[in-house]
Amino acid sequence: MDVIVFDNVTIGYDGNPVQRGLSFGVKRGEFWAIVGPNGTGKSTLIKTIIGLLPPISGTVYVLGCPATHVCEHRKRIGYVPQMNEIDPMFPATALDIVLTGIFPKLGLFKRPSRKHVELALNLLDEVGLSDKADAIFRELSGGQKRRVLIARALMGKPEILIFDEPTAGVDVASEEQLVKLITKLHSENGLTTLFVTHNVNPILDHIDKVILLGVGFHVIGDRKTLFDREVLRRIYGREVDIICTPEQKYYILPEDHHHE
Amino acid sequence: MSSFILNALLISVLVGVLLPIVGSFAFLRKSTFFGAGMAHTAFAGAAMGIALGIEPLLTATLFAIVSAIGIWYLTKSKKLTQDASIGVFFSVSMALGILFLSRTGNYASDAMTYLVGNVLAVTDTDIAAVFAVLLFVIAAVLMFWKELFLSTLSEELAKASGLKVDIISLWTMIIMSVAVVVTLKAVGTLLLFGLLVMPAAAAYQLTRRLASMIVVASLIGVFSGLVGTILSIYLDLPTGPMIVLVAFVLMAIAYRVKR
Repeated sequence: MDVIVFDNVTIGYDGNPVQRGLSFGVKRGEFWAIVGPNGTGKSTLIKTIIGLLPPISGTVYVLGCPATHVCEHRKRIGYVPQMNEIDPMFPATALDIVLTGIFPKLGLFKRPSRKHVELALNLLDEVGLSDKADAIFRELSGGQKRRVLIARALMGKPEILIFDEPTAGVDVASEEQLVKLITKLHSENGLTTLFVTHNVNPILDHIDKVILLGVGFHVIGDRKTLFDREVLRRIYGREVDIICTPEQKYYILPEDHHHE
Repeated sequence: MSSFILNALLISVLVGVLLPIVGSFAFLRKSTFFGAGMAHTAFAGAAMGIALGIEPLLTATLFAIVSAIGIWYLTKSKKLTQDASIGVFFSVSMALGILFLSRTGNYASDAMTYLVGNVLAVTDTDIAAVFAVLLFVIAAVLMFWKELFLSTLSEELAKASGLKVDIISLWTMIIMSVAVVVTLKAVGTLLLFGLLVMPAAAAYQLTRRLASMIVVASLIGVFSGLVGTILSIYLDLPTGPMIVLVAFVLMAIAYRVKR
């Protein structure tokens, strides 16, 4: 069964289309990458799935519910936004931030219980921050902040996890840790995962399907689509090299990478 | 102790708690300028009330709420940015306020009370109004803690969680405008901004969590209110400026301690 269904959808802001004719279905447990340069609608697509932006035309269903409806399905989506959507200086501990993940499931006037606190502590442990529960969120590193937000997204026991550029602006070591964590969550828990990124290389081995977004057009396919140089050239507007190491690891790089 | 001094101390405590509570959210939501805008629109409303012989508190409340809704609408519909919307209401209100003042004749000094504030001029009714709004604000913050917390941390996460962020934002603005109106007579249009911003800014430096920030901001507000009022009585100086200067000293100490 498809957990996300797009049927001839046009997405955009304030009636201005960014992508037209998007049609695809995401099956339960799949790992999808959404890749493309800036301004091609990656975040717009994510916001449409989450229901923050209505589609300009076409229909979007998520977990059997129209995406824009504020109904139960929203509570089954774990969302990790870009860091610029969060107040990085907000006065709270890491534990406080993780606990906000249960807020949508609590009724009016209800507060998180002891059980929720225990769950939050376990999730902080799972993302490798067991010693940071009482640390101040604003004092954590960029990579640690993102791991806190991943723990937060897991609080509601989601069926779909959506990451909007989770590795943007972090160092290589943090990027590696984040990708390892996200792919582990996907493989061990069978969570349907959508991963938005500029740089597909760190997740190349884990992708089931990909949506490649160019300016005003898109290509949807399986992992092999990423190795089509002609498609990549159209998406990025420049020649692209595909390199295979002796360990059979693939890297997609701009053709002039060796000059940079 | 005379009753007007008791009233002055009492209103200083109440205002010292109320403004830093709403100021903490305004500070974190980066909309403290909204408080300044509201103070000026409320002043215009008060001046109109005095000119027309209507209770100034009522006309000030009406002006502030209408302005809050106007600013919210212009911002939400992306017709203007929030600071530009506030600027429009701010300047038009001041223009109206000055025009009304020019028609108040002998009552101009009453209107001036709303401009610079005077805790020694507050009545039992003023105290009751501030107390009622304070109780309402505390109840609203406690009841809607989750919603306020999440929407202040991230509007995007709040929306993704199904919260009606626009409605929360509108209510926050209306509550802030009412808090500004009822404290106007005590602190004054020109100085009220100080009690919105400085206790919150100082508390932000000294605390690690939102709840403790609000409590510490209120304590700083109460201390500023009491010490400022007592100093103004003993030194025979205007009260509003003394309260704001004490708040400033506390904020400077907080930043120094943090450093």
